[in-house]
Amino acid sequence: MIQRNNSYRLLPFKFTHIGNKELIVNEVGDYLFMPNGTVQRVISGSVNRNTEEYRDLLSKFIICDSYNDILQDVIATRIRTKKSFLDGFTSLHIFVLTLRCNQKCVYCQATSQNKDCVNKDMKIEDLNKAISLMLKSPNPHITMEFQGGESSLVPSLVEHAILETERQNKSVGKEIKYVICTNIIHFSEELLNLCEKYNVFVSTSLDGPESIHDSNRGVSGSYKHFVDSLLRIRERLGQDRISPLMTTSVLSLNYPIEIVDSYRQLSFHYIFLRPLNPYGRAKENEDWNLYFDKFLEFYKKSLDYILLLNKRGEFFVEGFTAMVMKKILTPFPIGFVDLQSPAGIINSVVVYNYDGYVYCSDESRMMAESGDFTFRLGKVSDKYEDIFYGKKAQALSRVWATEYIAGCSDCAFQQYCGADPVRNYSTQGDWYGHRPSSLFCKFHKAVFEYLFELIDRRGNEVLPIIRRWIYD
Amino acid sequence: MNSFRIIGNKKAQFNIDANMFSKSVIMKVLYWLNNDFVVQTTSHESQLLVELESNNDTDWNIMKKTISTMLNDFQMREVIEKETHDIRNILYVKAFSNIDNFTEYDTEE
Amino acid sequence: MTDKFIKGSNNNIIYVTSCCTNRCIMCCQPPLDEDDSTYHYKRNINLIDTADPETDYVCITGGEPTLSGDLLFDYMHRIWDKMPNSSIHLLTNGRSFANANYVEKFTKEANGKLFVGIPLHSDNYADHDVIAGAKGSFYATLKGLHNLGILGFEIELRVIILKQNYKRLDKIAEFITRNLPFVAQVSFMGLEVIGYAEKNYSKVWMDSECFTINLARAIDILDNSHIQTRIFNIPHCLLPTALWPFACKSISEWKKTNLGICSNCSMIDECCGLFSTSKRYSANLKPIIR
Repeated sequence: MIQRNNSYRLLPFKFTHIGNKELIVNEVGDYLFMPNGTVQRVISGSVNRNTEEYRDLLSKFIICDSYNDILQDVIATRIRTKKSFLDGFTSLHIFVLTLRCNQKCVYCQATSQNKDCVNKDMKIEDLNKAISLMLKSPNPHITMEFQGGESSLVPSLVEHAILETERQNKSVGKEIKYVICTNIIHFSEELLNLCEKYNVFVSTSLDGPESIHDSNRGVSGSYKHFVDSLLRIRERLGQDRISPLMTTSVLSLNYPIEIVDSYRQLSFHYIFLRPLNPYGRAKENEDWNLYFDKFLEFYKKSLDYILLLNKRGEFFVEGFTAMVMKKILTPFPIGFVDLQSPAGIINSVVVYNYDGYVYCSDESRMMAESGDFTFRLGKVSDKYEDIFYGKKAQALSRVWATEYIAGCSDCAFQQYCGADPVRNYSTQGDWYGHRPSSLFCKFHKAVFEYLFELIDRRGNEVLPIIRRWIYD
Repeated sequence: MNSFRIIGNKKAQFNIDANMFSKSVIMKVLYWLNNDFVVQTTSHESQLLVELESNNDTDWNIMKKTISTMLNDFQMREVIEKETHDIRNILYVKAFSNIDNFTEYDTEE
Repeated sequence: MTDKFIKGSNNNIIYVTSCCTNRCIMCCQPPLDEDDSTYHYKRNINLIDTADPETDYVCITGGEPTLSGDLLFDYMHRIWDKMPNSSIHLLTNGRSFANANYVEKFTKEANGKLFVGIPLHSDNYADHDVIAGAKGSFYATLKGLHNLGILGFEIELRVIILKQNYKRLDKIAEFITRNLPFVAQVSFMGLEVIGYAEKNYSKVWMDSECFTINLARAIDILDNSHIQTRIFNIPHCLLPTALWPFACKSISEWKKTNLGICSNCSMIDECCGLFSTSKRYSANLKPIIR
């Protein structure tokens, strides 16, 4: 037991090495860069009360003079704030209305079917039951998101879903945001009318300039159709009601600048850089270590370019960086379900599948297509409590937080990262996960290290830009 | 860590003094090593003999430094955990104490 | 001091009492041990009674106004009664609000437009308590801020720039964004060199050329996190041009002055000027020639 001469107390904190410094992070994600050897001196009581260092450590809740009640309340409030995304429980409700699709994306995870395959549509009775489950969520604000397959192929189902939700919601009174995920290449007038009437937000895909986009989508002419539809939708619904996500195929990895520019050319001011998930059609014949190494390079080049654009006066946001930096720089949580502790599954998002069953996440219902029902929570006709608080959910709760699983419980990046039992299971065969061999861990660690290096070396230049992204 | 013995490009052995480092600290270090290496351990009095074997050529100079740093780091983390275990619990209890309707589930599978 | 409250003036001041629970080392109104609130009462009532009903701003200050209990609420009610458009700017060290009973009472009584100005001297108890001249001040103030924040009161944090805290201005800003994100405004303030500020001048004074870099960083941090930021009592010539948009005319007309050299300054109309009450000024004051 180490004797401390100086009577300051330690507060819970984590640390790691970045470059030739120590990065110290407190229980709520406040960080401090200190010279090597600081942690040793902190825990051995060698920090002198007359130093700026002492004040830095106090300010960031690494040490304290005493565990007084007020300090405890301040930190407890911070913890509650960080976890406040849990307040309303499940907020994002994904409805996989159909598996039918009209494209053949090389990285498709949706096990998409031919566009005429009607028996892969959700049945009306199941849809109605799923809607009543959704409305049982305690959250006063929910998002109802239509996915697939390609949801624009089933406009009458989308319409029914919205109308039925509006009808059932009359007695419930929630604020509902509707989102339709679609490649928009065939966006009918009736769908446009529906979106206008119910303020539906359009989430679409743009992989880059024409050559990359068409190559990724597996259907030539994709890009042209996309642009046509984009202009129509913008004109009718407004600039802010449609935004694209980008998927980084192996081809995409070579074109960071071109992809960012393709977004700018179409007047988008926001891009979300994310790597492929290692399952679905993407799982075949890939060396995932190599992919993630290359993606990291792609990410760094893209981010560098985007920061340069911002320095030149153009407001352009990199979404993934903004999300992570929001966790690092602010006391607030983020709504990104893939990087949360407790995990996004069930706590933030749930999937109602065309087959009439409820699943933890988008990825978990795809496993069902190959006969793996590990993350199936129940049938839409089951009771809400049995699905959301049942045995499966309880079992998952033992493994779904970075605070208490092996490898994460000591990690300096614990407060910025997330737990993902589904990803663990699909890549490692076990939902607890093995951190040393986890690509999820390796990738996110590399990103956090890179961003902290950026903060350390180029903070004066980069932080003002990123703060504008976060608080916008 | 002492007596670091290199036995070719892919294999090395070393001892850890089990009086200096707790079992928990040693296990955590070995946990992180077992992705890149096959780890074998034998106890001999107060020493733990560790053997690492890899499929790939390894720079053992760097590895030696890494293992040494990891042992030191996890030991410091253990000190921090011991001292802050109780206050951490108190902070979390305080953070969520206004939520009265907890349900305890028996989560043993 | 003014004899009549009028609309558009930043001079409408109710001085409640000279008592205070702090002894800030730069206090320009050094506290007294005895309660002199009855001494000021008649004058204050008269000011309120004769006030222009269109008055839109009244500052309640001291000492520490919350030490006068119901008297403070009496003033507040009279002000809102007589001057219904008025927003009250209550200057307090915030410590009374650490007491839950007091907060409850205050919430019931404070049912008009209110802006609470509370000094935060640093991001840690070691600096703050030394500057506030009172042990426990930092934590009491934090608790008070939390209680006011939960109840949705509009809060202005006031950071007076001193030798003791100028190195940490950006860290103070970061502390605020992390732990006090609910505040409406942060005001960085230059010294009025009278009272303890004059007595302790060599201990507390820090010239602007030493702190403008940290101040700029601090303002950048706060401004980008959508917390309104202002600079009070620092003339334009002592600030980099990038910070001019944050500087405001903070010095009351009745105690504002300029030096001779200011007469051909191109920014004289925008600048806050100097305290006529200050016993010393920065050696770096100079007119800005355009």
